[in-house]
Amino acid sequence: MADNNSMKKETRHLRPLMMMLVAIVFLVVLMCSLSLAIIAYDQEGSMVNTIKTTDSITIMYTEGRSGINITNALPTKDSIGKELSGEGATFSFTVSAKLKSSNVRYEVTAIKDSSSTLEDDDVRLYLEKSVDNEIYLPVFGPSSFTPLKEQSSLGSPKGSMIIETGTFDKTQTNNYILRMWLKDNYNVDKDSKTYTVTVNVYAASNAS
Amino acid sequence: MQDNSSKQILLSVLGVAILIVAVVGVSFAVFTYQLAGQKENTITTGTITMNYTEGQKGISITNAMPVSDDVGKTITNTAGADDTGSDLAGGAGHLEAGASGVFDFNVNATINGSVTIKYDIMAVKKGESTLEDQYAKLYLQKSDAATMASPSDAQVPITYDKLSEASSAATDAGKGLQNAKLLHTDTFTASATHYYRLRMWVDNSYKVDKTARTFTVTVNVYGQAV
Amino acid sequence: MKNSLGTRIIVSICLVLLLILLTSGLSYAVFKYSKTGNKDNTVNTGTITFTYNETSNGIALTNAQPMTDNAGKVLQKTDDANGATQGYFDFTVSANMSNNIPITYEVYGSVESESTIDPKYIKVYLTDGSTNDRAIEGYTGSVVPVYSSLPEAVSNPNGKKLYTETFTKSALKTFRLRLWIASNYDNEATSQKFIMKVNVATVD
Repeated sequence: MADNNSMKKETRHLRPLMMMLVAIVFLVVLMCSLSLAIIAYDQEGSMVNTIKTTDSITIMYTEGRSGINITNALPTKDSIGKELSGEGATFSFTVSAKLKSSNVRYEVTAIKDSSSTLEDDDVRLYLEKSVDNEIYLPVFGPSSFTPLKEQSSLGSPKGSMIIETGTFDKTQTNNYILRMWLKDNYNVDKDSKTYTVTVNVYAASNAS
Repeated sequence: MQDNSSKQILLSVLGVAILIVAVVGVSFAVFTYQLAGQKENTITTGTITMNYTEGQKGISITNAMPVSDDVGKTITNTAGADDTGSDLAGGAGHLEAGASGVFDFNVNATINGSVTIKYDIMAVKKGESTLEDQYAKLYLQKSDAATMASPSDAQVPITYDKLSEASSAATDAGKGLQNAKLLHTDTFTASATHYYRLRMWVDNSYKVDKTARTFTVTVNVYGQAV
Repeated sequence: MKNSLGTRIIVSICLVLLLILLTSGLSYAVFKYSKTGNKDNTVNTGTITFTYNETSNGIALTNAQPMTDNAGKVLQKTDDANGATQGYFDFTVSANMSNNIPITYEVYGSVESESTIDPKYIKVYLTDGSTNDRAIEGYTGSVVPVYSSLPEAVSNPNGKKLYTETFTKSALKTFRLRLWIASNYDNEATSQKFIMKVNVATVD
């Protein structure tokens, strides 16, 4: 009888603890599920990268048909490089957002490919932007590639270079044209060298 | 007593839940996006290679006497097969066996990309030369063929003192050299080889006397993109 | 005051630096190539040693008597009481060449200013000075020329060409010169003289 009573007493002490544990586990699982639902994004396809969070935010980064592909490049003055045009001479892309009531901050970041054999100082990058796809204005450069020393707050990795920052406060599409060329005082010699970058977009918004 | 415990538990759980929701709610307030591009943007540099290649032998004429330009321009490269060598026509001098009466060389450029390379051919007089500049005549021909077929005059016969030291046509590297004169300037706009033949003789204004004198030059080439 | 000066100094320094940067920025080259040649290209001149050697004293016609060409042609050398040589004068012309090329030279006479005898009375006769003493070209005729009739020297308009020749290789030539007063000369009451120097020069 005494044993039964002590057992019952122990059980009574344990029950609240177990209930607390269950509740905490439930809440953690709930939290993780929600987090997973937020972070997941679609990376399939080569033309469109889209994240869709809730019905209130859609952000898109759309690359043009082809990137820059200049062969037999020779040193070029900035005044010439800024006017480069034609297939393979420029890279067009858009960053757009559909918003209901939120703000979205974003960064356009150049990621240097590790296969590049030219020095960062040997190339020039130049970015122009248009909101109406007609009038383009310079927003970055011409500048050499200057890598970030730390990851940015929006996630641009260390070693990349931010070439544009912006904020969407309404539904809008921003059009960009990237140009890249060999710096005008580069000493050409018998060795052919390359420099390759890709462009990423990192964004963040305050949303509930 | 059991009821109090249960209430306490419920309140605790609720408190924790609120706390968690509050924390999660703050976390949910910052959403990050990463949109990775696929398109590569690449530049690949062009290349430029340039080479100046000297022929096997330089000019070595002995017992050179003053001759006219008509004679000097015909100096040949043939030397006698025997130990006595051979005399050049018109008294221009003597070639020892194995010696050369002309200096052949070529300048080559290999270019990938659209660029113009300018180059200078400079004659550099050696310090031990004892014949005065106005008596040493130089003559440079150019051809697109290694055989020097159909040559053109890159520099008509001219005494060394009349060659320009550094004209505006000279490359940056070609200017300011000591004892150097500009023989010829040319350009490459595409990969090519230019062949040259240099001749030297004693100008017919020279008064021969009992003293033997020498005049020696080497040939340098300087190039740069323009 | 100090701040203003300091500011101006700083601005000046910046402007100078900017100028240097601009200048250095403008002087770049995309591609440069430089190669120094190794092959020597040499011309060594030949040599010629041209020698005129007087092997006897010069002729001084002093108190000489007019004579016929036949007598003049065989004049022998004698020294008079004053030590002046009468008769003939020997000299050589030689060329030593490292390369056989044609060298043209002329032997010409130049009359000294103290001469008082008119050159039209001075006979000039040139032989090879050999044992046979043969007259050389220009002096083989029956009449020996007088000095004034000789052609003007190419190398000296005031001189008279006695002889010209072209060496085509190293060689030595000997000459014997005789001077005498022509037989048609009228002796003056006072002593007269004729002094001539022999010169050799190469000509083009």
